[in-house]
Amino acid sequence: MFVEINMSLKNKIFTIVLLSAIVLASCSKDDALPPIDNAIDLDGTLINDSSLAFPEKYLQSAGNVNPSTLDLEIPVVICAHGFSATTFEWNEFCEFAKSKQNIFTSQVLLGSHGRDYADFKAGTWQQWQQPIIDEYNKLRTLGYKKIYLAGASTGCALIIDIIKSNKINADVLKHIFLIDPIVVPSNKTMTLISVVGPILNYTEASKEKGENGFWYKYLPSQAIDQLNSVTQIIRKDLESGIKLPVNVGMTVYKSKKDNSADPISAVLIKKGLKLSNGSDVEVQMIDSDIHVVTRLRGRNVISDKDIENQKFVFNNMGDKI
Amino acid sequence: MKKYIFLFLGIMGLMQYAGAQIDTTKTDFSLAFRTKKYVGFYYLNGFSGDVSFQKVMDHKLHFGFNVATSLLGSGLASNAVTATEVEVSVSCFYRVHKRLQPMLRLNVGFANAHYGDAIFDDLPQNDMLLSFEPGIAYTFPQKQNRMKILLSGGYNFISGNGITGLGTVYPVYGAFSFFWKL
Repeated sequence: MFVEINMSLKNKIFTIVLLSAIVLASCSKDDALPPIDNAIDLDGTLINDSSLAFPEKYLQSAGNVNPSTLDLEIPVVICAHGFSATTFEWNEFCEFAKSKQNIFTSQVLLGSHGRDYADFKAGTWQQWQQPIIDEYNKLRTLGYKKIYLAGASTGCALIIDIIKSNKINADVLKHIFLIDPIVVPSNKTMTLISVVGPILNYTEASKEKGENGFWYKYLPSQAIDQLNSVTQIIRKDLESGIKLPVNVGMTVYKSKKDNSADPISAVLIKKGLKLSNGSDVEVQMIDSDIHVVTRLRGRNVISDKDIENQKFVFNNMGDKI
Repeated sequence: MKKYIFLFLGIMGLMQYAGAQIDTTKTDFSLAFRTKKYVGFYYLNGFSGDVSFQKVMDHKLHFGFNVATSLLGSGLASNAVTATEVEVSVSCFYRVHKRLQPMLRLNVGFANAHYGDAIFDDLPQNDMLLSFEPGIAYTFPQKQNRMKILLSGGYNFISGNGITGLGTVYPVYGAFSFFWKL
């Protein structure tokens, strides 16, 4: 007791630091798995995205390996979903495209998505991006002449990087659609993930009942860190300026009140991304408070305004294809 | 990692002079160049002013202001959004007659962002600022103790999500100020 009381200031500071480290370490969930319910959670090992089992139903390149000359003239929209989501996010647009009868779609499943928690935790954003590039290359090799890219949320950031880094030959790329792109997150604490991540280990996303099985419920800090990395890279690229390839257009649809992707993401894209001739890209600010205005299925509450917005975006996209 | 090692060695070096006595006058005015970097977002550069009085806690309590903008930081020759912040502050400096002075500061102010297009008029463009900013200052012996640097880190209690608050205001930042006593 006497020794403790007479500790020097240095020793006291050392003790406080040591105790804090022990407390922080004990607070950490380490590498413990979240309480995944295999029966209903996509994060488990039983439920996977259907495109893994039936790629021919989702990817134009797999569904029609010998396209006719006529097929090759029909536009194909490659749809990339957002962080932690699956191909489900683009189902409604694909149904719309099918109803138009003159648009093919490829619903790409991002790498490390639609599988299980361990896959999601281990994946890098470059791995998330690769299936978009692969599908574009396959379609181009098959001879499709009009390819379109459509991204939702994080899918948009991945597409912007594909263009900026020249990861595809854009000679058959016609237009890019970005739905609620994320460049700046609404939740600003995401930028602190490299510090708080090791303590948190994972966070639980609040999902609505109809979204169960189509989104990862538990978000590993490693995956959030990857999301933070890709958004930081895109933000800096936009600050420096990005030019689209020749004859490629772009339309951005951004919800005015979005609790996932801060609406200033659209400001940054408008300022930083230009057409090849230097003109501005088209930005449509949507009077909506939902993230990814084109996906309504699975939501608990859908207003008439939401339906109207979805219709507007689909028709607007259809007009440009 | 290297920069942190250099920073640590630098602080250790400054500590060698930390015990020296600094004289103050009745009223001390200082102006500063200030650079502020949000963790995960922009650099905002600008200036600060600072005043302290012998009569008010013997120069322990400082009153000041900060003006910083991304136009002089991340927005310099880039496409970054123009974000400007104006704050008034109250700081408490400790060991005021020594070269190395720990400091605690409270900033209150407002932030503005300019998006440059009418289609973004519905987005939040102004927000309140309230931050707590601890730091450490060092007064150089050269030029009659007129030069002082301040390294600080801050936490914004109000950070914007782009719906109810300004999206350019992030929670955590680091700042560096170079003061010149007038």
